[in-house]
Amino acid sequence: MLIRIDPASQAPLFEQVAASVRRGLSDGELTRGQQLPPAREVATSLDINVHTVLRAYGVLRDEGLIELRRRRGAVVTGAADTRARLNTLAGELVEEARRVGIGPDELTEIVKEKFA
Amino acid sequence: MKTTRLALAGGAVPLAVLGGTWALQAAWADRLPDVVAAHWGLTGPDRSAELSTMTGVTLGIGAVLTLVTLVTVLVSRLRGAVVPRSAVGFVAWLATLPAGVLAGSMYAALDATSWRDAGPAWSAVGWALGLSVAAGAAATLVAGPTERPAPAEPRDLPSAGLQPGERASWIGGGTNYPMAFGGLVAVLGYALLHVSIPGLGVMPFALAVLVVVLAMAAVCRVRVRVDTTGVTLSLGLFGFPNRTLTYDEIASANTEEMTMGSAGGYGLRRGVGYTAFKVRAGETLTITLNSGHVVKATVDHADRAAGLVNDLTGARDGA
Repeated sequence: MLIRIDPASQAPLFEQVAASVRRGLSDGELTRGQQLPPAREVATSLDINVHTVLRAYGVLRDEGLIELRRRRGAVVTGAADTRARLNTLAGELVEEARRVGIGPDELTEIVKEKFA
Repeated sequence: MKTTRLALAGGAVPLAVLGGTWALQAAWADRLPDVVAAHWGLTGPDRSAELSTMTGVTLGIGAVLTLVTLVTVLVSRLRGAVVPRSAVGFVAWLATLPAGVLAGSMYAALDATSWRDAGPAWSAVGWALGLSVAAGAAATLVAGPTERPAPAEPRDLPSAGLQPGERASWIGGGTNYPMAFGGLVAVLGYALLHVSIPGLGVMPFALAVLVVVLAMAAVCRVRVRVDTTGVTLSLGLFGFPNRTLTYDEIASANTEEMTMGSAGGYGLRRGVGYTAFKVRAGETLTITLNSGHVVKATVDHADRAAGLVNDLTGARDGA
């Protein structure tokens, strides 16, 4: 799994780590049942704090993309493929909305209209 | 041209030795008994064989081995694989060893009235090894230097698209699942054996199962980590053996497909110009060192690992 971070970016490091995992899920690099690397190893390899990685894993768990198990560590869940793709698409939608100057409320309205 | 040399080395050289041995027998026909010594013990010859039978068997085995060698070498060459000269020399040695054994037995039996009067073992062994080693060396010379594949152009190398200022790491691996569960199957088989055969002793079955489990665990998985410090490769569930490559020694990285027979099997494989951490066939990360040596690892999504290695090495700078 490729994890990349930009320390100069305004996005928090934990969010960048989580985004890398989401990208891996949507690209098919990570599949159901697969273990993520131990947080300590990721932290060492990126020269960041282990709590940053644990926080990223926590975010991914809250999104339903991974499960945190006592002995097996972080494991990709069955729903990860679909949710990761939605997350990636939503991220691209938000980026595009920012680019053309549309705020969160207006974007939400557009999405609601599409649902209707 | 190289194909012709390989055909000569893998086919013509062993056939010349087989033909030479047969000619030697014809030349010595008047001085040889019908039965020759085929095995030596501490006190001298202790087993014999009909000379005609021994000739047919040894030269027949040699001919079959030569044919297999020739076909293997030519097919590998036509499929674009690198055929090391040492491998050609080895198979030529193997194919001519039976003929060497025959020549040794004949030499020991020269002018003897019975196979029991044959000469000492060392002369027979000397002929067997001397003839086959000479054939192997000749085949190595005829085959010529091993061709190395042309290095990829920098622009052809994969990239992870790492931007200046970004930090990245790739952690991944490859697993041979049948091998990983093979140890479990061995344990279950052992348990089944104990249930079905009452009074069965624990040893040596337990030792055999232990060896199988350890062997499977040692080579069922390869793990690779690419980060700013270098590339770390480790084999098996124990993570040993392992190797760390620094970017000072890495020239570039790429991918290739390994077959089941590539590198001669699974596990940590060493060959001419390469070291392979191989646990399965399929996509493989290949890291070329500045020395020209290639380190391979059969990992999933090898292209991403290779891309990051190239970005961190600056191998694509020339693109």
